[in-house]
Amino acid sequence: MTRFALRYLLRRLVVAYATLLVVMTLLFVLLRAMPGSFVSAMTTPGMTTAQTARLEAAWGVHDPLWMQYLRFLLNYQTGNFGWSPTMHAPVAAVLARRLPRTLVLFGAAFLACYAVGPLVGMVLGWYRDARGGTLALALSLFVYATPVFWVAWLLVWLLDHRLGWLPSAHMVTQFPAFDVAPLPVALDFLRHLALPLLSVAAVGWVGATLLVRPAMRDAARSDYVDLARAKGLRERTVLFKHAGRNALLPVTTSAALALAFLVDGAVVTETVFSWPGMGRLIVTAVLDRDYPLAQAAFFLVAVVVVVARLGLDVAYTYLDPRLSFGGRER
Amino acid sequence: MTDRAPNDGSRASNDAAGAAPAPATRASSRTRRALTRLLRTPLALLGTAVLAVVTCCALAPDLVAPHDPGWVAYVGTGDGRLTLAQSRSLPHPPAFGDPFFAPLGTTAAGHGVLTELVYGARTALLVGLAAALLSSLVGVPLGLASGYYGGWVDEGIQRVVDVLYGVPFLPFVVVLVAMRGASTTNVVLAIAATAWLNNCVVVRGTTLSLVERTYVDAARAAGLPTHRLVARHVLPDVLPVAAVLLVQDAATAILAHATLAYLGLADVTTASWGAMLQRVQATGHVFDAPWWLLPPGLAIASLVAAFYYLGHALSDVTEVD
Amino acid sequence: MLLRVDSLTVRYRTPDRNGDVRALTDASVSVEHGETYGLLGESGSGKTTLARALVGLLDDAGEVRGGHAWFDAVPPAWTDADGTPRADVVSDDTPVRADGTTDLLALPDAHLRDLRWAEIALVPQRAMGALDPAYTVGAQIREAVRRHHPDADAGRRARDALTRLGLRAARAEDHPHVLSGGERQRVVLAMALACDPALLVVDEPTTGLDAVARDRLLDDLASLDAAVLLVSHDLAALAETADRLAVLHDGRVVETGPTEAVLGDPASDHTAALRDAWRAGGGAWD
Repeated sequence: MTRFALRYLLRRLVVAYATLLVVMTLLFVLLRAMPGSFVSAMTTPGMTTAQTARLEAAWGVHDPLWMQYLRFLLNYQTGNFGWSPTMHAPVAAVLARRLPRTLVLFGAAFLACYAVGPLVGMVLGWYRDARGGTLALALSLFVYATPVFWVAWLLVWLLDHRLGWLPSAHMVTQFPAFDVAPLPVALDFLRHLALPLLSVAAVGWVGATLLVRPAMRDAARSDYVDLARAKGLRERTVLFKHAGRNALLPVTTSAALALAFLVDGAVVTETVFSWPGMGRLIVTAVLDRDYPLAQAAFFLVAVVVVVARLGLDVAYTYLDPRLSFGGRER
Repeated sequence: MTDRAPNDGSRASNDAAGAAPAPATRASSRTRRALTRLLRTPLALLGTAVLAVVTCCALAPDLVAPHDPGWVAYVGTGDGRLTLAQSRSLPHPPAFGDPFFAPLGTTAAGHGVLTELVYGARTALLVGLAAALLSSLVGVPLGLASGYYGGWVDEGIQRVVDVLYGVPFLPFVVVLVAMRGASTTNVVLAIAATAWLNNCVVVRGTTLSLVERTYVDAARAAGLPTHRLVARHVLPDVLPVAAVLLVQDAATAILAHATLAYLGLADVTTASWGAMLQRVQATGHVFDAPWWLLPPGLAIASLVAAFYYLGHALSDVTEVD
Repeated sequence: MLLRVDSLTVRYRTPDRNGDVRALTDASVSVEHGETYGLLGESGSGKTTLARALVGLLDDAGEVRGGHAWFDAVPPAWTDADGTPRADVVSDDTPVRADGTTDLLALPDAHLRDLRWAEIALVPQRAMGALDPAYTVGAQIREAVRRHHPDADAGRRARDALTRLGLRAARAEDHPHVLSGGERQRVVLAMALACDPALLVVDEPTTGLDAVARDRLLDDLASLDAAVLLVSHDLAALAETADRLAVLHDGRVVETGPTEAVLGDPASDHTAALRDAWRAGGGAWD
């Protein structure tokens, strides 16, 4: 079992590393495949020839391609992401400041979606032939079909403009310097977190629901549910403890998809709410043609996704006792 | 599905030996049965209805829309100019009769919201179908090969898929589109470049379960050439799965396109619902012009939901998930 | 008398309404305390329908159209402290009689659920695949005990039941997938025994077992104190274990009586045919 565990973990690690290599290569190729030199995209008309030459030298565009590629790989794996021309700061420093903010939003949204979504999916899957079942499914799918940013606008309109309950921009209020105490700042942060979180979660929970629902149908037809009923267990116990628990398994395997959805949602939501995180950074960096920053930000998001998937893989093996780290995987 | 299995076995081994072309009739009668069941599903009917309306708009926007796209409130389609007072009153809520008639109100530029909505249908449908077809054309054959041949083919394809799954979708599309230019074609390509992964994985799974069935084994033992075997015994069962994936991909693509448009990364010169929303924001009317904000969002949601509904109804009648 | 089924009729609805299928017509059987009663029939004869109708677990299309199933127990919610039925529920309009019997078919769902497994335990078909893969064997047994006997020491009962069926008590900590088919089958039986029901309804228990596991299981069933309603198409198994036998054919009870009498001198052609087929395969009983 331990050997399986090790081999499985090792395989996942290799895949994770390969993913990051591919992402790096992709970034390298994309930048070089741009029409014209990518350096010329960063130059401004006012620059002198010497300045342009310095920029070109700094990027090493005159070196052979393979050398540029190797240097790129090496730099990225040692955390050397270069200098951001628009932020006038090392890219690594910018990222280090931005990443935690996104992780907070991501993490909270992930938890919110996965607290609600699977439960709804269990109920929908259990009562799929009931009268209200189709209607509930239709409504969930409609919610899932709405653009996140549009939902965010509607929520802002309702909760900020109409009711004035929650702030709708930035991460914290600018406090006067003498008024900074930990508790008010934390509360203020939470209040600012609420709307972006709500926006992502308002749409995101359906993803988990849609994964659980079909699994629940299979569970409802299963022999263990039949036995659980024969044991005289209450319907609620049969639903959540037996059918539900088993229907959760496919969710963890496909949670990678949901994760992707959340990344997308975070990119958009951060833009809507001026949340100073990674997603917004990618968009602004791309629009400002700050390529070193855009590349590195993208790379970092990929790292986060890959690490989270690794974690989910491990979680799956704990959830399903039949499967000890891929031991009986089929 | 289960009640069919024994029949399939015997029949398939018959025609593997050169008897009547049973799978064709099997597939077509099943298609007919599935279609009749589909027409009884409320979700499918709703989806089809929405899709029909959108298709009409996309095919003949000039017949559906109240004005042509060049129409501007107060001045109509002529060369007239807006007075300062008139342009200040824009965007205008729905108003009937004089001075103009725009059923859903106007945008800040004086165009009719309904007119823009109708003309945007074509882009949405085009993006959805093109991206879906493209990702199916890549994903389905690769999934078939992966599941049918197994071995190193499977290993190779699945490792590639595994690795690409780690690439965050929207950031990737953002980077791609920004670097290659924000044309609709590029957006479609970018969406398809990631959407085929899921198709490949799902089709592989279906193919694997089919290949393990006895009638495929029997056909193989009888020496049926690979392409005929796949076409006769595997493809008929993979197609419903592929159809479900197709509509789901279309839905995803439309949403992704709208999102890109919002981020300013879609072609704003072609009329599209995403571009409409982007203009609502760019002109600063998100919170004071609901007649302008709501229709494009609802249109996107309705079309995407229609595809979801069709996908779910399809997977219900064909018993795939 | 532990259970008396009176002219039970069940039909299955089909989507096109007029094609309803009658699975059982006027079926009557009765089971005494402690005996092993065999229900013999081919697949489709309605024997599983009968077993599942008793505990209210027909699938959605199934519908009881008539009959009674008088069972010698009263739902706990309807009894006084001393176990006798409460005076206010005993009447001709309720499923409870003064002699302490209840009509299972007329019981409301919630009360029937209280009786399931506590008094009448249905061990369903394919029981060896019916354990929940997500929980340990012990947890599933304890769950059943706690449901019906909240005050009992569930852990001890679970271990006792396992050892009574020849399984090590430590097996309780295993997940179902590491057990063999025969072991899982016995775990399900143990799960039933742990709640100490008066009647075990066992549906096709020998399917999928090898010869050794099968013999072992039949011995276990025969040695129980509880009455057993053994539903099977396996004539040999019933001949070995059943005290009495009912033969079902096409939804009707064609014959009942002591096993030896039924098999020795079948009253119906159908039973005779079944018996001859069995004898031709070398079967006999002693």
